[in-house]
Amino acid sequence: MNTTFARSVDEAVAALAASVAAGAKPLVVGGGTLCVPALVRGGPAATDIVDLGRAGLDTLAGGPVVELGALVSYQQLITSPEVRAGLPMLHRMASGITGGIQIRHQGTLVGALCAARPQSDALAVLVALDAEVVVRSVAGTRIVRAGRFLTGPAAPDLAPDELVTGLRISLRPRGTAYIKHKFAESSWPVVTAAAAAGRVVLGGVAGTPQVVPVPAGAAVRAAVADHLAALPAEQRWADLRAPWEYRRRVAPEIAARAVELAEEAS
Amino acid sequence: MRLQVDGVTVQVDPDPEDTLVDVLREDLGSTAVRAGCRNGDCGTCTAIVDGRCVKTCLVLAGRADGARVDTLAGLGTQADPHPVQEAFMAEYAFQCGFCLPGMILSAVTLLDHNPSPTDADIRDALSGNLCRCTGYVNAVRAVRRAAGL
Amino acid sequence: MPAVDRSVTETARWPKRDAFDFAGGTALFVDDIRPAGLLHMAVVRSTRAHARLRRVDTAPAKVVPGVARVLEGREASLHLHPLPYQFGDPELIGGRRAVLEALPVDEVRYVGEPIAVVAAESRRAARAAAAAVVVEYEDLPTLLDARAFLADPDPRHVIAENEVVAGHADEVLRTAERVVRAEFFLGRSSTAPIEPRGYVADWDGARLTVHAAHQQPFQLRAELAEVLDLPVDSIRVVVPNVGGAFGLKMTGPVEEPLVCLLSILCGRPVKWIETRAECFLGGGREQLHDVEVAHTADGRLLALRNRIVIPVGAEAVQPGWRQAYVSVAAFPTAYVVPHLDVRSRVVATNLPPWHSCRGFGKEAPVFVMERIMDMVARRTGLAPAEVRRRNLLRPEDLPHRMASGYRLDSGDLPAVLDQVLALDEGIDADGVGIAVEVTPEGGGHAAGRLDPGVTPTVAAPEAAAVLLRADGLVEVRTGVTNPGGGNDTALARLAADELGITSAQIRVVQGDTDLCPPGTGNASSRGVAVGGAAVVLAARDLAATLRDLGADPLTETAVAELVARHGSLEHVREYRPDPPSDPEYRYSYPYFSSGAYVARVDVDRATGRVRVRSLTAVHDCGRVIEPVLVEGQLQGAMAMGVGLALSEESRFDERGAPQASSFKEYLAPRANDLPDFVIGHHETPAPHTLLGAKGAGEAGVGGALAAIANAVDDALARWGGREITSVPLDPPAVLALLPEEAS
Repeated sequence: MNTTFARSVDEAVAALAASVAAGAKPLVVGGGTLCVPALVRGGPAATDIVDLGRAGLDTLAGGPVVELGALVSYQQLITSPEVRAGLPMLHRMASGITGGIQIRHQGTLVGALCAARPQSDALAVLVALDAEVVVRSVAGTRIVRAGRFLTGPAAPDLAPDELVTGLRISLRPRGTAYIKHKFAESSWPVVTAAAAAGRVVLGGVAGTPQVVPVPAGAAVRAAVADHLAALPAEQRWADLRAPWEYRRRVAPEIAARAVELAEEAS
Repeated sequence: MRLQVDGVTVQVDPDPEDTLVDVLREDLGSTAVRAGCRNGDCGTCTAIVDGRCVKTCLVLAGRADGARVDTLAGLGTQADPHPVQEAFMAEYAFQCGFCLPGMILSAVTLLDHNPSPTDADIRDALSGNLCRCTGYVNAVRAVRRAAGL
Repeated sequence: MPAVDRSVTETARWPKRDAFDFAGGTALFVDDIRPAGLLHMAVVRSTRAHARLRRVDTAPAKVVPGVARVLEGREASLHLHPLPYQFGDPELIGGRRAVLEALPVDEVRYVGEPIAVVAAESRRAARAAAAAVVVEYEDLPTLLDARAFLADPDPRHVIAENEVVAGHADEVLRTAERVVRAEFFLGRSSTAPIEPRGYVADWDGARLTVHAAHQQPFQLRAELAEVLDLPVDSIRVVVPNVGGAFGLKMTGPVEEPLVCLLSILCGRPVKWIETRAECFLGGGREQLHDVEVAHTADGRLLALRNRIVIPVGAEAVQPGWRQAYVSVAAFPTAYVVPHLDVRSRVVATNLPPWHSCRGFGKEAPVFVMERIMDMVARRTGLAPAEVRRRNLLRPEDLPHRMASGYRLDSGDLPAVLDQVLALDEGIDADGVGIAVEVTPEGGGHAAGRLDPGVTPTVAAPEAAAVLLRADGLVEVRTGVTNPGGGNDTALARLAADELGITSAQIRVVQGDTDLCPPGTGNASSRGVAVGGAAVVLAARDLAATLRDLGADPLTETAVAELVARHGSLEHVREYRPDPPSDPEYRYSYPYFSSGAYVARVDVDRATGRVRVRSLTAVHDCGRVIEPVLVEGQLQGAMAMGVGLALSEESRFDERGAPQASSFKEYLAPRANDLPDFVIGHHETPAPHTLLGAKGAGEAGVGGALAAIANAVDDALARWGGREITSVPLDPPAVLALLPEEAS
């Protein structure tokens, strides 16, 4: 196995390109919380590793648009005054990440996005915030909205020679809220709801986050129930924690709680 | 690669797939980090790497080249234990002791940033560490005691 | 290995002895043992739940770099005898006997069953080689759970049947005006200590030394001697610090002889450390109870009929399956039920075998009986506590011989219940639940009447040696081991008290079959009650000898001088608790512990999520030797009970593959899942143990589990929910009990 501890993004994408060109299967390691244990178990059939730990991607810059690198940890989001004041929904989500102090120091928002697990905390929030995903390869940079970047369960819009260098998120200091429903501290989220700007984005109900418009005064529960009823069967999400039927039943309530909190925060 | 472990500089040559917990345990013989799940769940491989409290089973060894690693073994001594170590011993906050690297270093990290935590803060801070012996009751008491609350 | 700088006073400065070894990170566990030339074992495991082995091709594994040896079933069977059943013959508890080999030759019976083992220079090489072994299967029909068995109750799957019958339950149920009927289910769960199992076997050509994370070194030694055909005295088992066990680390898993055989065949030390996924294969506790109860209008139980199916996984020699016996024999727990008819069928399935789980079969009877109490309360309009008072055994009923033959020696159940109700702080919550628990200990040994042809069961003794050391310390060697609960602290204190010295002057040696007198290790909550008594007797003998020598006071200098003049003055004593002999019964375990619990919970009606707001316990484990340690034991057991009630479950898919292979799927409670527990003590000294102590290791699991379930049921009842009959109560399970409009 060939391991590159890239010193820059250029070095990282060059290593990716070289690996792909050689017919190898590269694996990009960010925070490591998902893919390192998988590697240890012999899970991913990766033949090369590109580690971003020293690629200088751990910076978080404030401004009207928060720019955060792929290696920015949840703890950085928690301690950043810009995030606390300007993106309270993101702050709340980061503060509730499972795994204690250590995982908050190690896990990354971008890593969660790239893993694209429907049960993840990050996805609904990033879609609700309309985050821009910065994708790099040796060929250049492209920008994708989070909602488009997520094409299915564990299916990000990412070619083998591409990596995500960071996110750009416009400040949303008011009118947002995030609620997650999980079963125990060890449990991954089962249903999540991120409310912002007249819509609520649901995680854990389908293979990708579901955007449900909820104009002011709308009946949130009914809107969500209708949306889920119309969801094609093949898109309905279920995992070990709960069947679809359970998710269908609780999602309207989780969404309503998020919308209510968002209204309080406006 | 080079590491500074509990103040001592060491040289190791890990395999690319080795994790930091492997290097600390297998190459350096540390008993102050342990492997309980190798999945980032139990917390007993916890160490402070370049000032951050992390689970070393989630860190590829090569990433830690040049890093400063502080483990439970470097925290205090028998004669002069760290206040969190002393509180855990005084409150009988552990039984088998297998989970202590994570428990104690998480508590130290919490108190470094929040000297007067609430019980909810304490439980949240310890939540990255699993313990099957104690039900956490005495660990929470110990952190309270260490905080002087 | 760093030298530990430990003064005598440091040893006993804190509630747990040698606390800084752990708090400072120098304590050694089995994975810290790395003899020179160490090889690592990895296990090739079945991917099928039930299949004929058509071919096991180890050739691709043998060429993996670093591989020293690959061993499959056929070759292993040339070296190994079949595995002996642990804790006694299965026939004694209504079980059938199978011939069980360490590695199968023809057939695999569960996903995860070992098929071959590999020894290699590194863990990674061993794992790579294990992955290279090619296995061809021919699938066979599978049986995965109790309901599938009931749908087609093929007697060939039944490996044991047990019954407890008194009076005429059928007749009473036929004529009774008030009958409650319910089917109760407990999911499969595990113990999941943070340290998994592990062994280092080292054959030097003449002796086999095995370091093991283990509860029972002497039993392991005996098993290895039999399976490997070695003289017992050529084997030394050493147990270093153990990172929790809770039943998991008893004798019987097939990796035990296999890691030793690899060491013998390779002539090098071999280590096996279980992965977390391997650790999650094992489990226990799953059972289905079909119950009918007759009761009076004023809440008194008249009759209980229970048909139980207990799927114990694949047949195995480890003691796990014996919990099924206890689950029958412990009925009707703390209550008087005149007519009782409890029968079980213990079913071998195509899941991994059961291992012992803290509580050892007593959790299910407590859950079922405590649910029944609340169901009767609801149907009679009486308060739950009142229904219990009307049915509980009273102090004057004790000693009480249960229908199974288990003997409740002493206690005051109504007082324990009243005490916990008074101790409960009564915070406002959605639901409140109570539970009374009794924990008849004894490892699933046969009880019942001493009918002709029936062998009496004899309680195992424990032994201890107490001796003086040249360095001025007093050494206690005991056959009981310490899985982490701290019985060394209690044993040191007991010896110190007899000798009139401080426990700092005591060294406790445990878990080494070369140094310690034989004992049962750590099982059945007997470390202090039985093992402690042996220590006290030996220390008393030594004290008497010292008095004769005029050696008081016993300073370190005095001890050193005594050793110089008289040698170590070692005294060895055995202690076997001595219940009153009763020619009618084949077995009388000398003590029961009891307890009562109050849980308060909030339930999110919209999602089914339960939050435990408070959990209060009063525990009677006889004389309390070390209150801090006993409370610690109970706290841990209660946390496990909460986990079992709400979140812990070892699920398998429809092909028998495990779905909970890490702590991300198997939801063990974390710090912010739990409240502070409140614990009170009620001490009824045990009349038949030397110290008056009973067991403290197993109580709390069933009591907490049942109290939580009752509290959730109480909350659901307010909103028109259906009654709780199964655990764990994860949110989908809770929500399914509520009508959709209620949420």
